[in-house]
Amino acid sequence: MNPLLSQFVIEARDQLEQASTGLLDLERRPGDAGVLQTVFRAIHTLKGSSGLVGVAPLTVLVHAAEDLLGAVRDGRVAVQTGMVDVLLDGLDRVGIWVDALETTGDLPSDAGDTASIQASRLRAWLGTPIPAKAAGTLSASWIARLDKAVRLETVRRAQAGGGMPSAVVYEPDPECFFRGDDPLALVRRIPERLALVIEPTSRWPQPESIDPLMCALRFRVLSAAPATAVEAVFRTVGDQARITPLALADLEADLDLGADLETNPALPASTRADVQPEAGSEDRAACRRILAEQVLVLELAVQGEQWLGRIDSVERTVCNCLGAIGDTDHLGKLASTAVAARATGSVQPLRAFVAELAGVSVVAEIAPPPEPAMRPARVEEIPADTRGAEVRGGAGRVLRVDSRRVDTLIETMGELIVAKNALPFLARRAEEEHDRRELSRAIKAQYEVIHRLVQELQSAVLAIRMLPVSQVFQRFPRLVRDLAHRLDKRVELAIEGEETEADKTVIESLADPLLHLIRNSIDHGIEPPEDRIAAGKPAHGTIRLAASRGPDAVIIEVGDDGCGIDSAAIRAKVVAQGILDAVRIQSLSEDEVLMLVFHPGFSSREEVSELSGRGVGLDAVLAVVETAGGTVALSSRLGQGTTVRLTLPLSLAIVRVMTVEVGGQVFGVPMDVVAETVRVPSGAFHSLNHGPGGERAFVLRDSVVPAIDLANALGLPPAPPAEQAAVLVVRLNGERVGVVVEAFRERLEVLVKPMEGALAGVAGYAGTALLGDGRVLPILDLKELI
Amino acid sequence: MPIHYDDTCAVFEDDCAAEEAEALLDWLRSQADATVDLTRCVHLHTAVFQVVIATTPRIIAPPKDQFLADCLAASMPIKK
Repeated sequence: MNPLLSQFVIEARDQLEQASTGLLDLERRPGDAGVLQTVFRAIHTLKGSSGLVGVAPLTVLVHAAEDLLGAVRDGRVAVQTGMVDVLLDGLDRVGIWVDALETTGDLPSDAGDTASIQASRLRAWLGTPIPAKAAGTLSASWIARLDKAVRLETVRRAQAGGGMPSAVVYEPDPECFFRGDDPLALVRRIPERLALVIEPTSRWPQPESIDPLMCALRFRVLSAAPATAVEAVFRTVGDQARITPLALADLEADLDLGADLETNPALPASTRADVQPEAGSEDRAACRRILAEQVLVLELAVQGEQWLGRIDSVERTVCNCLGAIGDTDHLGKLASTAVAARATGSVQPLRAFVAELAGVSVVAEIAPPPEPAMRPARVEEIPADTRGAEVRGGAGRVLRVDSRRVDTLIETMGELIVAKNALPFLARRAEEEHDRRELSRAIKAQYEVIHRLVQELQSAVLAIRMLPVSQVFQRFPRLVRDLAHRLDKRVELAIEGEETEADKTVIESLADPLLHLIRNSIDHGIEPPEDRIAAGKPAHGTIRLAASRGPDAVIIEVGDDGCGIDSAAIRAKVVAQGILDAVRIQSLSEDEVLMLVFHPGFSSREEVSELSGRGVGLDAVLAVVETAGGTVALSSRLGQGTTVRLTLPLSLAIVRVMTVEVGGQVFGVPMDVVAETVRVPSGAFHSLNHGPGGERAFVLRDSVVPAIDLANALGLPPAPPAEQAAVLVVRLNGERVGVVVEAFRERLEVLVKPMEGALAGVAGYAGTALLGDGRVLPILDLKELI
Repeated sequence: MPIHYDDTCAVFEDDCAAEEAEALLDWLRSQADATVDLTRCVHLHTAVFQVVIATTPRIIAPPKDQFLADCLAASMPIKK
């Protein structure tokens, strides 16, 4: 993909995101001019940059959205839910196209049709639908009111020049005089002006109350020049002027073209005299200036493949200039020169040709041809930074890096940790095998230094992968809005702590669980407005999505103020579904009963709703969160709401493990499940049921803890009898379990790699890690194993 | 002075800048039957132009500058 396009893809996503978020805000606060301005600016920028990469249907669609937002800003149309729907739909479509551009480099083949359908749906909100064949143009009713002769002249000129004329609606900012703007001077510079209407934005007040320092005018101009040429005039006040290419259909409303052109080619003298001589020469001068700029553009150094994009843009600009001055003779040569430039990589002939058109002389020895090797040396001279800052509006200095590079860094980091972990082994060998205690101590001291540095490096590297949770959160306002609409519920989403950061993988793994939880809250939690009012609650339900930072973990809470969970109903349901028997369920605490909603196959609703409650969902949430090394907790009060709390590790990459020895082998157990390590006298174990391999338990601080022999569970030979057993007390699903091992070994930080290939299906293992001495350490997944 | 006030007629010359707008408005308000002479005016700043078209004084001489003439024609009926 050419660099211009890939840059566009990145920026377009940002702008779409901004616009969608803004639209949702706007729906809630229709009067907020700041939000409206943000949305408008995002769309306006998107339209501008789409023009540079030549994706016409996308531009058409975005343009329609911009016009509609412009109308909203001018107070001509009010924001309504239906309108926001259509705008969001349009943005979704653009999002799909941007994805297509990224993968295939082109828009889908039906994009043109889709664009005109969606554009006309957008324009329908302007109050004046336009005929389908004029898709992409403004339904400028004022143009239809213009004098017939003027319209005829426009059509004639447009046909002669081969370009589309443009309509300008320019409504200067009321305060523009204070910035030194002179709108009339700008209007004077519009090339090929054919018609002009100047009107007050509202009725003139009495002379006594006129404020001469506020601009209260609206200008409408019809120009035979193409929109690009006109846009150049309004570059500095782009958001105040709407420039629309006109289809002939807009002008032909009631013209009998054929007849008029045949019999009446001459126009009333006044129209011609008014406009032509002056506008024509102004136009030519403007074009010469633009062409001269293009010569300079071709002289600038560029990096990598950007010169392809540059040739494209120069060609397009020159083509438009030629169109604007009606010079069709040179179009052929332009095309061939541009093709040659792309093929040979030498822009010299193109530059000479454009210079000739511009009437400027080219100094022969300037600017070496842009051969790839020459360019990087001069890149520094291009103020790339300022351009970037302009586009992103001072979003700070952000470096976009391919995530694969970061992953490579992290892998190397992991190997460094492994290498570091080899030092204690070395120290032990020095001491035990070679009896060099001093050397051993020196190695250990050196190990401490390296350990500290590696940790610093590690947190720095992992910080690169840290993303704010807003990355996942930002999609939910839209989701909540749509779901609530569909279910006829009224739901507010309150987001807190969206700046909290966690590892990219963690953030990404959060998306689906949160989606399920929020759906559940809307579907099962929040009651319909009438029920809420009857229960003395506000008609609006509130879903709280909050992120915060815990020790080594990120905590996400999804809470609602809905109906809460009826634990009695769950007890009944669980028994009815045969998940647990009636006796067992009596022994469960209230919290344990609530956690049963995460049981696979559990669904509390009788009917299957469209959104959730298909019997999958909450158990999937639990599975995903646990796979990511996190935990789920749920609290609920009947009639007051439910809160689900997800606790996830900050980073998945590096895991702290406790190593244990069983049957002569070493295994790793993730530290996050280890509660404590104890030594239990062999006599303290009690058999729960008699016989070999029967369940055993021991008493730990006055409570009974079941004990499991790890050797037994792994199918390894049983340990030789000892006076004391080493027991790892772990916490699984909120219950303490004692895991009997032969010996505790050291604690390590390791980079866990998932089991791959034939081993991927082996239950009981979370993955493997490489030890400092080169051995492979299997990491146990105790939940699966026990 | 780009605008000088001559009894009941304001005579515009050259390029009339935004600063003239307030004085012009004051003067137009004080005149019962104000007229303007724009013949030698080459450009009106929008602020001045706006005062002229909002108060609709009688234009006894239209500007020679074609663009200004178009603008006036596009925004107010010229009283002769």
